[in-house]
Amino acid sequence: MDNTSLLDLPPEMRSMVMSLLYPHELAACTLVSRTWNKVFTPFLWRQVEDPVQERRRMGGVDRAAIEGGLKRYGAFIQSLRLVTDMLYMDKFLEMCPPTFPLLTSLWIDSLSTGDEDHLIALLKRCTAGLKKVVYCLRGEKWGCFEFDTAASALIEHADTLEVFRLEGDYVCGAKPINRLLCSLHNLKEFCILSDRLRGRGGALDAREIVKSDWICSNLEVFRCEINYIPRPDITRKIAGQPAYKWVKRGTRQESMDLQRQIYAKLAKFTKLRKLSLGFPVNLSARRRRYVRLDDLMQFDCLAMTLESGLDLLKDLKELEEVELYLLDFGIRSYAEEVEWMKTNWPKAIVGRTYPSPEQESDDTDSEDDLYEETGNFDDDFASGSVYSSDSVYSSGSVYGSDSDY
Amino acid sequence: MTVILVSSDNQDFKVDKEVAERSILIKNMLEDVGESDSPIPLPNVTSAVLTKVIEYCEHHRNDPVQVPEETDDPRKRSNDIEEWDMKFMQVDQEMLFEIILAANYLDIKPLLDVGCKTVANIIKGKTPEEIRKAFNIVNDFTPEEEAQIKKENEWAEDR
Repeated sequence: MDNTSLLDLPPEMRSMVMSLLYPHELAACTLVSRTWNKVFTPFLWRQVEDPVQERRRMGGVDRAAIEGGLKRYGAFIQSLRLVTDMLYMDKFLEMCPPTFPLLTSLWIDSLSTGDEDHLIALLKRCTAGLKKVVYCLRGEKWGCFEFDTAASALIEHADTLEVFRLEGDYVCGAKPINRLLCSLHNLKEFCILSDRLRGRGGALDAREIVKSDWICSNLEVFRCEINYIPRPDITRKIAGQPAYKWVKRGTRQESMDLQRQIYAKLAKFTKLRKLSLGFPVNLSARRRRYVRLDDLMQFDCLAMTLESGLDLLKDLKELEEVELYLLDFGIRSYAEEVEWMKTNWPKAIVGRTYPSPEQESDDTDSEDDLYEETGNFDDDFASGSVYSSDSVYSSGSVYGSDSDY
Repeated sequence: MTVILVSSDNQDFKVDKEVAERSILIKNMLEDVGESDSPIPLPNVTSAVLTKVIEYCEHHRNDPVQVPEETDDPRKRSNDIEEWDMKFMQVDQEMLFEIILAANYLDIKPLLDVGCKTVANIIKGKTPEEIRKAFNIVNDFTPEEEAQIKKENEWAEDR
């Protein structure tokens, strides 16, 4: 019998063994011998990320860049999760190889102001075409990342890009966001998260949407606010003021026309599993004494009522999650819509925000109710929870903002 | 119903069809030839290895078909080896690798998995020096080279 050892196994079986090892274990293998080093180094560098702990990631890739490993082995990287800040982004690019010929998944935490050009440079080096891009921009002290110019660099990856997610401390105009939906034809996940509490993020502008042609027909996840819709149906007092001070103005007809056109665009996403038009806020994230619910609500959103054209979304049978947090949807007749959703989106769990129809129907003087709830809202803040969000129907489960990504 | 398997060193093994069909290769062969009692030659598997593989298939003859969980991180699952399998895999390294090769050739996915997990578990938790010992490998690095590699791959270290 021939003397067989690990390195004599055919490559695919060797890979099976290696895929069971964590980076530090692969790193130990690279130090065993020259032959082992040749086999294990490319595998170790395939995935440069450490999903285990924040603390570890902070020390992660930047250090590799400094030690020069990145330049030598960067060409092996298929998936890169980079934790950086503006001080390191310069350095990182210097240490990078001229291209990343295998890189298809890029996840960047904590880019910030001034890094816009570096990001574009990095996107250009990913010559294989990126499949997945996540920017999770957490760097409050550095200010706010402006995503607008990077959108064009991203569109160069249109043939391959399936997942795009943007969140945190960034701002982006409505036009570039809309352009992504008109250009990224292979997209499956489109997530533009915004944080109403901190006034960060980006949203789609309804007036842009109706003029454009969304081509990502394979979309399974759509998470983005849509705004600039007139909502004359909202007549209640908002934060103690008349509604017109808050609500986008326009005639009822204008509102209905615009909404129907938007629903028609969304209705083309027949593979959609997750639809988020508004996001929960984690109030414990900011030490602020008092936040009124109305300060966070979105009043120029889709009404999500049958009257406004919700029925156009009846073919989205795959929907599993619908998030309507902080949207002032058409509360007045919501019971009917709840029934409609149960019937037409059989798999979906719908998450939304107070005011709930039950509470409103209890009392005709609904304004008082609203403000009472605003008080509860503050209590929620004190206990540090994600503020009162509930499920429209049945299961009562509420999902967190983004834990499943 | 039984089938006869012939190892590379020309030994016959008479096994139940149900047991032999844990191997997708054999299952497909039997389907292709239909009802036939001609022996099945396995030129890539020695009798020593085939004995072990049959032992495994006998023990797992009634296992349901495995559905792989694609979304799971495979690294988290390297420890979930059944006790019987663990004992079964307590063989010398040469045999371990022969079993892996045979499992791959015969297309017995669960056995291949257990084999790979066993190899991975030999590596896990060990220093480079301990790995060398476990696999009987001589360190051919200069101290400078070793230091260089350590530096380059420092990002991956478990801190």
